[in-house]
Amino acid sequence: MSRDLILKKIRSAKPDKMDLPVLNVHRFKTESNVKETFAKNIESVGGKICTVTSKSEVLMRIKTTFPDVKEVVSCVEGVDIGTVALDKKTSAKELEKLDLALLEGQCGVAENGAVWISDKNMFHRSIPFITSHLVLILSQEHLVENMHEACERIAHCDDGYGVFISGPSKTADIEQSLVIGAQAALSLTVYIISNS
Amino acid sequence: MNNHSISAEKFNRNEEHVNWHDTALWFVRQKRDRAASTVEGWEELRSLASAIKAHTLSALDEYLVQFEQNAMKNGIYIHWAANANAHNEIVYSILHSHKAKKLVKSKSMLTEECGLNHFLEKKGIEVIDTDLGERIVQLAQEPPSHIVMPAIHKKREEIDELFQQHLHTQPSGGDEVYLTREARKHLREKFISADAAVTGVNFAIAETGAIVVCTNEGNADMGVHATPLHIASMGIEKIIPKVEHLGIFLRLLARSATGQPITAYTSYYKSPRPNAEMHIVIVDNGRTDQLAEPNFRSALKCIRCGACMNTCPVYRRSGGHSYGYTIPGPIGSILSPNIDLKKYSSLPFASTLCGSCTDVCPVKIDIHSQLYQWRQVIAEKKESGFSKRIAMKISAKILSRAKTFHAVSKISNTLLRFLPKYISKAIAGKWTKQRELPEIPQYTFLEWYEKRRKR
Repeated sequence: MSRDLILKKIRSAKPDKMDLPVLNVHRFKTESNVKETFAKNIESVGGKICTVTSKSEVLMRIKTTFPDVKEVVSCVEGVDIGTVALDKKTSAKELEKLDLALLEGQCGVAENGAVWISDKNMFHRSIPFITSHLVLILSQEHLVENMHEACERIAHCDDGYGVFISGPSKTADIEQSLVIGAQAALSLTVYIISNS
Repeated sequence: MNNHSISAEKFNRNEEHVNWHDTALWFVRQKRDRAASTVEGWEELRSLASAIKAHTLSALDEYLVQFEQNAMKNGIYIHWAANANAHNEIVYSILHSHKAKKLVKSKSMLTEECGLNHFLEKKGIEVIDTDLGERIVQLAQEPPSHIVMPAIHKKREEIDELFQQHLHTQPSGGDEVYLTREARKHLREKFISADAAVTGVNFAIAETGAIVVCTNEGNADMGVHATPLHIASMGIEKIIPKVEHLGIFLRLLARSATGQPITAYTSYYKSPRPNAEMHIVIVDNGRTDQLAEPNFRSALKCIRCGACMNTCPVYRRSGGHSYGYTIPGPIGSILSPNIDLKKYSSLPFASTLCGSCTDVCPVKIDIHSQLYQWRQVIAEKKESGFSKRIAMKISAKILSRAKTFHAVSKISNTLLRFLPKYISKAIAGKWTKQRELPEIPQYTFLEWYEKRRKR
């Protein structure tokens, strides 16, 4: 059997046991302002960011920023802008024409502008990718400085799927010229709900 | 047998294109430098990543078993493949049992290594590569020339023509926005109608049994979530122990690869969604042989960022196809001899041993010293070219005898000074093909030295 053969070969080939280094992630902390760095990085990866004070403000802003969207999904309680009904049998095909999706992020990472979302935030795993415009809302208190802190948070995530999203989909496969909007979302907007 | 210098010469016939290729990749290297310099403790991250990989390789069997157990607990099916053919057979049998005929694939160098596309196509399965660069080379019926930028060798005009022919686009002179949008339409149709999705694996976490896949285009997720069957192929060396280690590797990977702080999507697949199936194929295909070689095992630390290619003066001026192996560039040149020493014997020589690859490697593989060590192995096993072997033998004889050396250097000094250029260049050998010989001095070093001493 391949399994036993491979494991046997590894046992005879591997070097003597080496120690796993001890991580001291505090070593990588900096003095930077987490919110400012997050905002700067979201923009540098091709996303947009806007600070708001409440979920109802998000609703208003979406209506003014995206006036022409028809097929909309909201996975955020209290922001009822959805026009597409979802149930457990909804297929990716039915979501193909989705114009906008609104989801709540669990954690934002300042060093790279990434936002973590998992099964509990998206109803259907296709939504954040298949939609033309992705809108994420995130509480300011859920911002962390770097990936070490972010990974500490996701280590105990019970969901079967999660993703760090940093900006809209992009490619530079034609002569290294950057194009925003490859196979997945064409745009990404993050609304930060501030503490004050 | 592949000969790197002969293939590189072909690539160099179009000087303008080579210069573009060289500059484009050097630009990516500079972006990497800028990204790295913004990270507090970057060098420490590299050392940690290297040490974590070294530890993992020293307990690889234990971590693979732990990964398998946890993944199975999460409802994932695990398969093991000793070689490329076993891998392909397993993937086919899974597809066959699901009656899957249309497959969408995101980037996976392992499936390239195994020749999966060709294998499945012969069995009547439609395979669509969904990374834009990979789709371009698939339409051109070429292999990727870079592991992160598969179509870096292609000019926009060529891509324009390919798309006109296969996707019925309008002539656009290579407009990247138009072509990318057309590819988007074409590929989204394929995602929606596919029966199954194949992805690679960037990291497999033993502690949770989850796999992590990084893309910029979102193509892995578009395929996986639109189809009822996800098959992920991974080499045994993709394992990392814990989620906390993922943070370190994710900070290094995209910055080293393209200078981005992270890829647009970093997807963490732990279990399939309801009514869908997920399979992982764990592949050896020569990796355990590499693990058994003390001098070469650290090459298995590689996280496939491609930084060593972008910085390599030889890669940048010879193109990925000149290596004739799935993984080109410096890292490919130390992995391939383990697969087939005879076939890839020219690759460890496709280097100036400048060490730039080692300097940028995020997991600190000593690439250039391994290149040097492979040369020793190749020379010992007489896999280097006949003329090179004879030249080395004669040089050794001359250099080890002082009198002979002085006599030969005096004769050649005189000859090189007075012979016509085309003859002296021929004597000096291949080195002078694109270079001029330096001015030949009036006397040899020893003559000069004796003269000075007498003064």
